[in-house]
Amino acid sequence: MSKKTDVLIIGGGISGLSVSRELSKYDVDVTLVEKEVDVGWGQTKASYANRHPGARWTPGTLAQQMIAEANKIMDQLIEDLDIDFQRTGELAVAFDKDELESLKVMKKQGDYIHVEGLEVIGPDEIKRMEPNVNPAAIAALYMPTSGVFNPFEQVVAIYENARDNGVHMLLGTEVTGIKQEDGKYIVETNQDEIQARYIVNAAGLFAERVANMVGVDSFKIRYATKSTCLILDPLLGDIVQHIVTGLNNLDFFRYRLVSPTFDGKIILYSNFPEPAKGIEDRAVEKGMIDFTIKDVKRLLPDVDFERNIVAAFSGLTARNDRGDFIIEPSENLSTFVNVAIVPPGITCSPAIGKRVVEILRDNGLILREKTDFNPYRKRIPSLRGASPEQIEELLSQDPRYGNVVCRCETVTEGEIVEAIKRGATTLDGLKFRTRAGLGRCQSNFCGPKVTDILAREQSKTFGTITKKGHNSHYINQEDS
Amino acid sequence: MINMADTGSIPLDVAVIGGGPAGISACLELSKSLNLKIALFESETELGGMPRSCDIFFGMRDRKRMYMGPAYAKKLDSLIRKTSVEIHTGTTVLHIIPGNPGQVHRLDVVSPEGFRSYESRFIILAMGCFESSRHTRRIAGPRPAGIFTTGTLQQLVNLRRLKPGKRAVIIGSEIVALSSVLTLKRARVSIVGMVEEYPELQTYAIPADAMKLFFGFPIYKDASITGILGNNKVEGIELVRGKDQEAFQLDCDMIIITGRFRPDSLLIEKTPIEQDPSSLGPVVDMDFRTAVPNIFAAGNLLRGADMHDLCAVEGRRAARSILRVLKSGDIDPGQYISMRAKRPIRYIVPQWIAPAHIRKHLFSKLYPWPSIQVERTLKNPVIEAWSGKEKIWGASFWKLIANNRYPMPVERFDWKRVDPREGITLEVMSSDS
Repeated sequence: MSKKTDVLIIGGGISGLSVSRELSKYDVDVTLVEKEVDVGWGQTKASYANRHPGARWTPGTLAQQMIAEANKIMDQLIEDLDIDFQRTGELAVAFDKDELESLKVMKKQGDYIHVEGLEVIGPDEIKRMEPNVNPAAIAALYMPTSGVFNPFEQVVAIYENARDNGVHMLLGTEVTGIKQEDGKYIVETNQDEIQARYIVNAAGLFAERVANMVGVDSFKIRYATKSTCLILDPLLGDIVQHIVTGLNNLDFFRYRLVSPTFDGKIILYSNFPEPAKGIEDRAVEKGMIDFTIKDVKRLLPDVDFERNIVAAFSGLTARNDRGDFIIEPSENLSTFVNVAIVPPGITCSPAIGKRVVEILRDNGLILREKTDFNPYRKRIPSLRGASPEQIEELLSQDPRYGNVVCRCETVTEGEIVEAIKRGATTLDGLKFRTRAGLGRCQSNFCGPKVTDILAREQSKTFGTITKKGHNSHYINQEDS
Repeated sequence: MINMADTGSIPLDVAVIGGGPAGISACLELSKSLNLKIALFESETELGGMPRSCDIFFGMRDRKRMYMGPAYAKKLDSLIRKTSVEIHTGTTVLHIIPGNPGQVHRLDVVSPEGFRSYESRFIILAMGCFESSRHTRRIAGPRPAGIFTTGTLQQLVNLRRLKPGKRAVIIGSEIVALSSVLTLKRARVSIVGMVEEYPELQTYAIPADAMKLFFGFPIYKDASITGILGNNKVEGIELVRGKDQEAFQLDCDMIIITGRFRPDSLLIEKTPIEQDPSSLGPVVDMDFRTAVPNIFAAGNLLRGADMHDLCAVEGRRAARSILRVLKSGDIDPGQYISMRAKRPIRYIVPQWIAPAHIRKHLFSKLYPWPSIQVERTLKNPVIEAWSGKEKIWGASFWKLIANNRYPMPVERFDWKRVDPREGITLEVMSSDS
């Protein structure tokens, strides 16, 4: 069987989903395929999810231009999609003269795109703003507009809204080959074949592979090293109020950071010097956790990180051989648009969507605005931060919001059921949507309960529930 | 009497948070005093706490006979149901808002029946503890399915009658690891091995060796995990062992992460109830009082896991402290001295001690109070107590086993030389391991 669509988007990460939502404003048939069983499971998931003002990026690059454009429209998106965002501000800290020079360069770069409020501050001011920062710091660049997102909610919000506006979302669908026939693409997948007039290649780390399928070799994807993210126990939730970053010759692939998260925890981030073993390598290597702690201790020397790690994860960050955003139609193949970006994807997402839509329009796609586009999406209600009146209101609609399943993150049965209704099919999908199991005990208590609920809601048996699709069954009942 | 009608809150004399051994035992003791309005809040739908699913024997210290975990939980459940204590299962405490001195404390709770606010004169915190995740233990590798803690394993096997896998590797050798051996055997899961990162077992060697012989699995000491095999589900585990870092691999479909318990203290984050950075639980005095007047804490919340019957004894004693306050207005504390532990001593609990009252707290070895635990098994350690520059006590031990509780003989401390401003610091001065 073959499906027909106007635009096929390959890749359900932040880029592909942003394109799909932007296209869903128009009267055009859009399909998105994602090889994983859920969205945002590539680079997006392992992001520290800062919103960057753009001072780290060089003037004149497409990356910096996208950051500037996106920051103008991001607040609207946050409001429309009811997304978590905290404007924490950021301190980029310098420890010697060279680093101070870097700060000044950053300030100039930021000024170029008119970032608001950039200011180089001295040790006294640093100490006042962040008492735990290493007193050896000689200066910092204060960037008041930086902030933190919830990376997963961001993609899920865009996904849900695009789907509600008619995008066909085909998850667990991996592209295996692309043929060209009569000005159309015949896309082979592990599921049904898809016919498309336009293709948007937003396959992230796999974008080069997908481009090669139609003979396009105008860019190369690089993924030299892995990054590590550590989440700390809420006990240390107030060690910093701002994002605190260290410098490394302005190379944003090699910097270190201590940042509050959207939910009151702390995330540590650094880059591991050893090369990644391959494009699918997401393992947290032996020594990575220690390395990260050592690395961020240069910023905050006196914090007991060691005993307070709740979770560790690792990811590859795609770069490309041009070191800048690539958002362009292929040469000689104007209906095949490549989106091969570098960080910061989440910051830039709304601008990426708009740019790709312009490119498609320039290359002949007729786009008529829909009259019934619904820009809004509501988050799943929760007890966290709710007033007694709000909790009573919520419980009067569904008493399952009174059954707390995940005690660390105060996640209720009501939220889990709602997340399943909205498309979660796995334990990881539920974890990222509702935060059940993301807390300090890491699903020690709630794992079996969440599995019970998922099995019940999907009329499946306990043994068939998976952590993340494929054969990742929560319990292994296979005959061996 | 307290009258809260106008605020919409429900008045209580004592609110007990946590329906495990400590919480239930506290209620049993409190209910002996008539006319007290006591409520017990438990987020699970059943009372009993950890023992409900735990495979280990205990009970001597509070019930004077041995029980298996589930039988013990049932016993406590049946006892409390005979009392006038209000039992709220399936009810989660969302916030504690301590009142100013002399005022009541507020608790917001939620259950499928609705949201309620209570105002209570006293609170006993007994939320228990949880096992560290693999990440806290810095276990490297990808994140496949098939990695459980003992607690999760026991929920699956003992509460759901499921067989979660075929071949398991147990990480850690604390007492709870032996409990996981029994659970795995009950579920007919074969045990591929037990892995301990230190050269010494982190529990009594005799039961561990006996189990090893009886069940026929190897114990790999001084072994650390370098990786986990399998991206979607566990296929094995990679290790290195010994001085030469000899690399080897074990095939398994399940990894059981055991022990390294820490207090489930989330509810008191962002409250004025002081927490101890070494025990990771609330700071208490010998009468189980926290830093906030009329809020008490007992059981594994104080330090991470210990035997359930010990928690029960503590719950009971915390309740008695409340009864004493009710009877005589307050506990006369005398002067309090702060005690702190330095690594590798994991904690000393209680953290505040009134030298004038030590005699009344001298109990048998069955109930060591105050007590310490060490992070790892120490051979021939010398432990000393210092107050500023004054040494006030010292002793050498043959062996201190990790995660076992040792009494601190505070009655033998040279209290005259203690400087109250300095407090007391306990240190390991030397050891062979």
